[in-house]
Amino acid sequence: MSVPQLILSVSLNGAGHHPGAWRMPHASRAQALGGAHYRDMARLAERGRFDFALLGYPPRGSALAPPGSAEAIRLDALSLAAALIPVTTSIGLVAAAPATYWEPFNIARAFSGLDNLSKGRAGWCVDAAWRPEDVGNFKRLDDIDPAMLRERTREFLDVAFALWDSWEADALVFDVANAQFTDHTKVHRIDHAGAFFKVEGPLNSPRPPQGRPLIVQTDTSRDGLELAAATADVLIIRPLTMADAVETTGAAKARAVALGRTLTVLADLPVMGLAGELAELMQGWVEAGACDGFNLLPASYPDDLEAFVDTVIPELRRRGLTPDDYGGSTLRENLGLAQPVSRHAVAARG
Amino acid sequence: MLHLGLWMLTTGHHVASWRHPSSNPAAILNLDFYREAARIAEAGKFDMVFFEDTLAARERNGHIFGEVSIYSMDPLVSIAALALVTEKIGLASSYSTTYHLPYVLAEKFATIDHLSGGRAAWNLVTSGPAGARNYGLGEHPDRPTRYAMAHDVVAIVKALWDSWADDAFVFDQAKGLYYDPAKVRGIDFKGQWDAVRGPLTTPRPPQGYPVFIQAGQSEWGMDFAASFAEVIFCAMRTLEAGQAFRAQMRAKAEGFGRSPDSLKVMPGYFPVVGATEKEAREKEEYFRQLVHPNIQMGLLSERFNLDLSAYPLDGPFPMDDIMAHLEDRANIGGERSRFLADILPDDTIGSYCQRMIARTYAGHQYMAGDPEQIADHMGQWLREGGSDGFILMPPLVPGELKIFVEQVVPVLQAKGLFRKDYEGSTLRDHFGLARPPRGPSGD
Repeated sequence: MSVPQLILSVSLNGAGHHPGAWRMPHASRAQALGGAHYRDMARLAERGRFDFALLGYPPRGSALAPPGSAEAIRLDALSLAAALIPVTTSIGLVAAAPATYWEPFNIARAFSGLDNLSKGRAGWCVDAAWRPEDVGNFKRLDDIDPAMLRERTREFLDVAFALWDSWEADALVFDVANAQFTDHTKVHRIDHAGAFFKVEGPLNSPRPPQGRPLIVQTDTSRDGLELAAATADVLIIRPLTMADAVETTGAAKARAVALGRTLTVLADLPVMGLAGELAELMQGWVEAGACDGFNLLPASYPDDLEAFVDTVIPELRRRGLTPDDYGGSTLRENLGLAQPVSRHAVAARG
Repeated sequence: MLHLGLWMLTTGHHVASWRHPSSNPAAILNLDFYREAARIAEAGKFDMVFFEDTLAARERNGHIFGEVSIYSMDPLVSIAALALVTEKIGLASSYSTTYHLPYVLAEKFATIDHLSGGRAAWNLVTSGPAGARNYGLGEHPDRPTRYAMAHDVVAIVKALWDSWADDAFVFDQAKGLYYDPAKVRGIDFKGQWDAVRGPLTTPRPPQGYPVFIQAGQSEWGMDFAASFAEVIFCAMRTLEAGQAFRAQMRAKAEGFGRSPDSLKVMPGYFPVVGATEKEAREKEEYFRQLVHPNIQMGLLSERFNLDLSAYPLDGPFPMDDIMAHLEDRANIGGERSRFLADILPDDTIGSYCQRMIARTYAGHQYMAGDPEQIADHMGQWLREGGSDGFILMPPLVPGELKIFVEQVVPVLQAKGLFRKDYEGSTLRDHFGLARPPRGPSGD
């Protein structure tokens, strides 16, 4: 009898996800600001064959946290993800970035770069939250009516998707004899003029190797689930109980299926417990339809990730729940997701 | 002492470099390509590697410019990706103050400065109208307005980087004090164009501020740059022009109460290096022949906003049509008269193309010669006050960059014109620029 394949991500931060993690004896200041810490943790996660590492999760606002909290320091998640490209080989790199005070063109371009440079390992964790504490820091938020946020976010994603599609996969031809670097008939303006954005395109960066970077969302409100069903590849939920998770996941997946899409749901997993118990619990949740996998939030780095990789992963493998190695070369391949084809290529094929 | 930067531009600065037999144009999508170039420059002890920015796909006549290498990676993603796999070399990127918010700019450059251990630099650019169509901002701000906005941005990012004192991140595990709240302050900036509350949630960058670069050569641009920039990019065709520009910039900097030595003028430099001068000339000719007629035609069509491929090569230059289309081109400014002055009365399209092939370097220094000649030429500029160094525009990457590093750099070093090794670890160290102390609170 086949067992479900369990998808795993890990949220990387400085000292760990427990509020007191930075006060543990092995914690160091270098964890907060040094690339070496993130490099080592990403490699450790890669050794455990995590599907992807999340940077900047959970997304939060620009308010300064209290003096006792390590959340007072944050780094730009996109830059961190980019820095991890050359020091890892297979793990996906998913960065949180705003769909509010940034421009869709900037987002599309940055993630096209991340996906191209990583040869198809990039993902965007869409932070679409409107937070009052951000208003004084990001002028662009002045133009946003929170009551219209749902429509605006949807349009933001539509524009980003259209920009990634603006280059067909075979637009770059490098034809030396005929002096044709790009086949200009395969690069298209998007001429988007909606209620919130006006963007002509095309993107100035070729199609991402994955077609579209992996789209990760975290909003489990009613509107959020609807948006995820329509646009996300992965939804991360924070359930209080398994029954909770079964309900949310069931609803989100059913809605996605109704829209002709597939949605993978991961549940936040704070790390605690014995390896055998954890593996048992994880298997139970997946078999009950509570989720397709887990987003690990290690209480402290490196210890809790190390322990998970060294004890829980072997147990999951023994149960046939996770593979030994990365099978695909892109993040979408590793997750068993289809690669989106440019709408222009689809249109051309009739 | 010279300062050298590497200006990364796809397969190289020669317009047809991607057609060179040793070029691998598909590699520009891969990080390995950029890592190799950065490491070659680092082996050559360059001050920094620099990535430019564009905000719209390069087009000609209503569609993408298919004949040249136009790939334009997000430059900040590129330098971030190099932060952990280079050791000493500075990592510089353009980023627009017109289409990125100051808080975002401050957070991103602070992050890269932290990840690289103090090697980040920001070429602060205000963006022309070409990008506006991708940002739906309606009326694109005119140049004086853009510079006024940029003034605000500089003030805001400095205040944000100063919102943490250098010793604010105390990490006192025993007391449970992660940072000292007495040493972190909001900025409450309110200017004509923007208002930002702060503080930044990223501690002060290792360099205090990442190194500021600016490239404006207009009157506004020069004043703006002289007020805060530490490295000036420019295009100088002659030593005399370089001397005049540098003297003017240094005087302007003094006018702002700055030491003139806190400002380094670095014109672009396009080198064609041969073992002998004869070999350099042959290489020059070889590169010239890579410029396929379609590429030349594409450049002309882009320049005149008119698809010239519809006209016969040996026919007369279609002046009437060109004039009609030049009127449509909003951002051509002072370039228009220069373009028109280039056209001779008897020109056919073909003869004009032939003559213009040598002029595809956008007015930067162009030098073909043996290593000794190039080193002497650079030395002369330094000695005679034409520049403080150069931003190198190798015709082909990595090939011609490697040749420069292996053949010209040792000559520069032997002449005492260039460092034999890095003496410090931050980009400010390489440039001999002071680390700015935390500024006073704005209120």
